Amino acid sequence: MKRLLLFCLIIITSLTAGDPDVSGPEILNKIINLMNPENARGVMEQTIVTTSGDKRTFKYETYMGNRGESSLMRYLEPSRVKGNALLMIDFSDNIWMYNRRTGRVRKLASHAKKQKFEGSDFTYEDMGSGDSWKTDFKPILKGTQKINKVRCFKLELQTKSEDVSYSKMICWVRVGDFFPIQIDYYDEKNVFTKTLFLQDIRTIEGILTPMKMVMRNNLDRTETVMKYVNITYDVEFDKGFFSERNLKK
Amino acid sequence: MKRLLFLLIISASLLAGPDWFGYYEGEYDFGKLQDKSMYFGYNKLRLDMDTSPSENIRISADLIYKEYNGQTNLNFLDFLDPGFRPVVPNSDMSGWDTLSYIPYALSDSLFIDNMFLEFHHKLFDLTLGKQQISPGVGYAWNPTDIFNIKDIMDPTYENTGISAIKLGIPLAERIILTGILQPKQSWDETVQYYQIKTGFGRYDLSVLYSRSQYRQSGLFTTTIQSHNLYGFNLEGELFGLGIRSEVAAHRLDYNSDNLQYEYIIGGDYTFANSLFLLTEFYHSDLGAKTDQTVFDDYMVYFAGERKSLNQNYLFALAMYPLGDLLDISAFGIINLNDKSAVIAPQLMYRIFQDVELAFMGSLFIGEDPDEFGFQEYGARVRLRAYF
Repeated sequence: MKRLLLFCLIIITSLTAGDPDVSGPEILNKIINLMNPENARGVMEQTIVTTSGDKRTFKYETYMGNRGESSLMRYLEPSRVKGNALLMIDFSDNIWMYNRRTGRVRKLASHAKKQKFEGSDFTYEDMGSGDSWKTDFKPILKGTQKINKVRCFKLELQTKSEDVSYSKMICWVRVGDFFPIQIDYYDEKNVFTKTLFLQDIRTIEGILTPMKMVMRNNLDRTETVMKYVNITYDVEFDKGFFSERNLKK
Repeated sequence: MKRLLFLLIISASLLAGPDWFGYYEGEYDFGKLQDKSMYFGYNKLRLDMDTSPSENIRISADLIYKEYNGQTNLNFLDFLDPGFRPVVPNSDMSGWDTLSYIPYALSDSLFIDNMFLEFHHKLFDLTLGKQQISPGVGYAWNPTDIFNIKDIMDPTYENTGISAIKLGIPLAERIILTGILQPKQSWDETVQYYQIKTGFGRYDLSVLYSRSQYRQSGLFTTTIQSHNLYGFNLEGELFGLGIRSEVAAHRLDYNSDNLQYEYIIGGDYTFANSLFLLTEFYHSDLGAKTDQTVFDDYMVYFAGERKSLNQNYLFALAMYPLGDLLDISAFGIINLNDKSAVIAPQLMYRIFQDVELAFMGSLFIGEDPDEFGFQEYGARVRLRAYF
């Protein structure tokens, strides 16, 4: 009998081993803290693999402030968009676009965040959501599972807001350090539309950083790869940096 | 002053190792009128130079060469219903003739379109030289823009540079005061434009005042009046719908008590499938009233001295990305005064990373004397390759 009890105990312990006592909201908080450092500045390269298999590459400077609440992007390449810039504040609820050739700044209504970012598989919303996940989604922990041999929490984020384009997202979060390595997106009709893979995760200035992000569109069969050419978190921005005035500089 | 600025720009740009870029654009246009067809096109090369000799100074300039082909000598009157042709004294002043020819030539040109120096300071931004100035929030019309006239068939095309001095002073977060001076022969003729722009929540709001001269070139007479403009711009969203409005109140002639109003009100929406819809209503007291359009109205309108022929218009645009390389769109403009309209489907194909090919058709609907009634249909092909 004792042997049977001991066997059961071993089985139960082994099944639950490493499952930290953590809730869905706690995991979401940890993800947001990890993914949204106070400030960041870098250069990114975005490659879109089109339906015809061609590759289109964009390069831009990116600035992020206030834990992802504000961001500014300025295109460096290709020539077609060079000098154009994009400002997003309030977690992409307010978007302004600057066209260098016409000198014009256009304010986009928040519904425009559903649009594809430069024809890529990322939407403006994907680029600037940050902290808003806390208010827009209800996090539910659905256990753990191995993804590419890495033990991950399966965190389901169910929408609470009509403002977002996704009915739910499933985040695969590494148990060891709470860093997400994969996010599955489901559209308003609950169709599994795309997957974001966070790869080449390195520690830069003490902060875990996915140097490569791949968004794969399951419907269009297209793919967008975003890579950091360089990034630093040791940066501070003046008050007014994330402004229309700076957008035009 | 202009020479000094030019020398300063050239010498600074040579020292600073500028970026060179630009584009080639080839366009071919076909138009079918009631009794004739027209074909013309152009090749355009734009060469941009941009440099920053120091962190807070930017110098930018672009040179444009445009070479026309096809029918480059046009008759302005071919585009109008013959009923509008004016009667003029004949050459020996013995009687009257109906005017049948007003030449309009498309000439090759080489010019510097923009050439400016930007200086950024903590307290202000100063721009000197020929620069892009595009006030207003409207897509198809900008009543508060006294510097540019948009081509209604191509409202997002880049504007010609404006020689001006622009000073922007940030007063607080999301509050900027902008002053623009466009120097002319005398202070009375010099254009003054002042705007204060602010933002709250999801809205951008600006109020403005400008002082300039309003010119109307008729066939026999040209009138020049003092022009005070009081304006207002609003851009934001309401119940999830993007909204914009632009209002201009014009006082022509200092002694006049009457204000003439020009405004747009519009909205846009992007659906989850990326379908984008936009519409704008435009009204201008300056346009001709229903059934009161005369030849001089066309002269003033085509000279770019007025933003519309008549008073009331509706613009609607639908745009949809068909995959990642192709955008399809269509827009329509209705002249609500004479009930004529034009519908223009468009297709934009991004052949390569820096090469775009656009096709546009246009179908005109209306009676002969109507604004969009005399032309039948048209087509345009435009290829643009950036470098």
